[in-house]
Amino acid sequence: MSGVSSESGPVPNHVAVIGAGLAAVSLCAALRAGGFTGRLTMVGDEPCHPYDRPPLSKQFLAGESDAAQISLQPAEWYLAQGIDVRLGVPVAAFDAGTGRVELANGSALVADVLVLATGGRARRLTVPGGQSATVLRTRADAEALRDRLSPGVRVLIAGAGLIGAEVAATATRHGCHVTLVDPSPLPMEHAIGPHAARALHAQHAAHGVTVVSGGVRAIEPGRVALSTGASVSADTDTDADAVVDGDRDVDVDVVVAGIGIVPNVELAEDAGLDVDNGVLVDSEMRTTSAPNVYAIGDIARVSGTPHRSEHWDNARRTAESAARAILGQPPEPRRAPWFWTDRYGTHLEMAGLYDPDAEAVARGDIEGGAGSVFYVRDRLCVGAVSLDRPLDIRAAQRLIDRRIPLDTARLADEGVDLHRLLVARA
Amino acid sequence: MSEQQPVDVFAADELGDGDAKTIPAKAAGWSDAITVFRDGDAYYALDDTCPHEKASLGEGWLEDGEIECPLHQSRFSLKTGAVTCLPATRNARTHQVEVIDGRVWLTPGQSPVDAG
Repeated sequence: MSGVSSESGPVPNHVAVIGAGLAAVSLCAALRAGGFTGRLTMVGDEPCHPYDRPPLSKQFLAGESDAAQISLQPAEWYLAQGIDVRLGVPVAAFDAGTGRVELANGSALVADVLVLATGGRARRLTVPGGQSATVLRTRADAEALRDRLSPGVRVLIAGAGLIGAEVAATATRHGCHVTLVDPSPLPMEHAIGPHAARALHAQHAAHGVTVVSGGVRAIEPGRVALSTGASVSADTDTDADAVVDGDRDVDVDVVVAGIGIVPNVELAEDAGLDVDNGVLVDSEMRTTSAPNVYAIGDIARVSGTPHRSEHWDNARRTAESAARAILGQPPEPRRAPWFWTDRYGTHLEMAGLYDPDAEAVARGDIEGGAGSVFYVRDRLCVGAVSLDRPLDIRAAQRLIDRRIPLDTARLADEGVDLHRLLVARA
Repeated sequence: MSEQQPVDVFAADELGDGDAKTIPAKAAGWSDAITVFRDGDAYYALDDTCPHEKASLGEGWLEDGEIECPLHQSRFSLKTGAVTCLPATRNARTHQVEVIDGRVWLTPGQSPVDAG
């Protein structure tokens, strides 16, 4: 019995999590850490124990870490935590009213509370032949791609966002000839601002990657047809970059599509929950349509906010919020969003949000390779981005979360210690 | 092995409040580099490598008696090494550190004596 009662009703006897990624594991950990002693079941369609995804495009793809190293928890942990883990079993359907979950292998379970943590799947190119492009979402995807990356292999990557750019960087380390194609002349500018985006994007050409501003028109065996506005050659020390206008074909060995994910919301849709670019939830991750069903991680969209978040930190935070709600504990204050990317040996972090109308206050020289830009509105930090200076982001997170008024002159002064910035001055 | 031998690592006033100094593994005579932290008037020593992934706790953010890993924001108690915030699941190893006559003495491998 887990008979602890609370404002929002008794703590459930059985919580079942559909999905087995970071959000699912974080939820289980938070429930147990919060004193939950009831039944806990986790159902995942992949055959392996949950693993960490960020390394899939970085250390794991580079061959520097193995499956055991990216495992989120050792197998014994699930046993010790009393979690009934069902792996390699897709969920066929669930009924929100009864809490009954039908598994694809014909078995079923019934829980008082269901938590949907089904994540997303890689988006596919819709151009002719687009289905043939490799994607990178699962550990199996990463293993298959890693086996194809070797010196001299010609790799074309569609999409220069987080995954595409990281795969490009890792592929160069394998000695591949890399072409990176994106319709945006400055990928990620909308998310991290122009200074950091320029610094990051310039790294590709500097590392020998052919950067093409354009799109993929069609994929044939060994060949990709591009529609290009202009392309920048891989020459690192030239100001006479080859610019090619119009369409052209590129001979390739491997095509990778890194164009985002599609949230796995079909189960929720089939169950009749409110779905609109994600499963709609309240601020505690409870679905707006069924009080005993929660949604966390990539699939959840908080009602009234415009976007889902697909970041690692969001998976953890939403899991912790749901766990608190399930345990009847009051919500914790929201924290600034946070993500990072690693490429070519540099580490970028972003906290809060890029606001093009905010004042951009520089600390260090981000375009020179190490520094930060803080975005400040009405003396409050709303976001910050940093290249190779993660402590600046540790400070920014606290500035944002605690709404500490800033003196922008002190913020820009490297002589002022970051910790001192957290002490508000009138 | 001389694991329990105190090592004179630096002058106590070399470290300001909230600062950290990392002693290379070789100099510490230990399997990992060890970082000595100063929080107020207290000194603490932890294995420098975050138990979660390869990151230097010495480059982390020190606040409220805890050190936060610069990479993934795991937090550890300076006093006990206990994880206070995921994603790390293993505690950080702590070591005895004492200030004697203005010098910081580190004893790698010996758990700190709880003066409190």
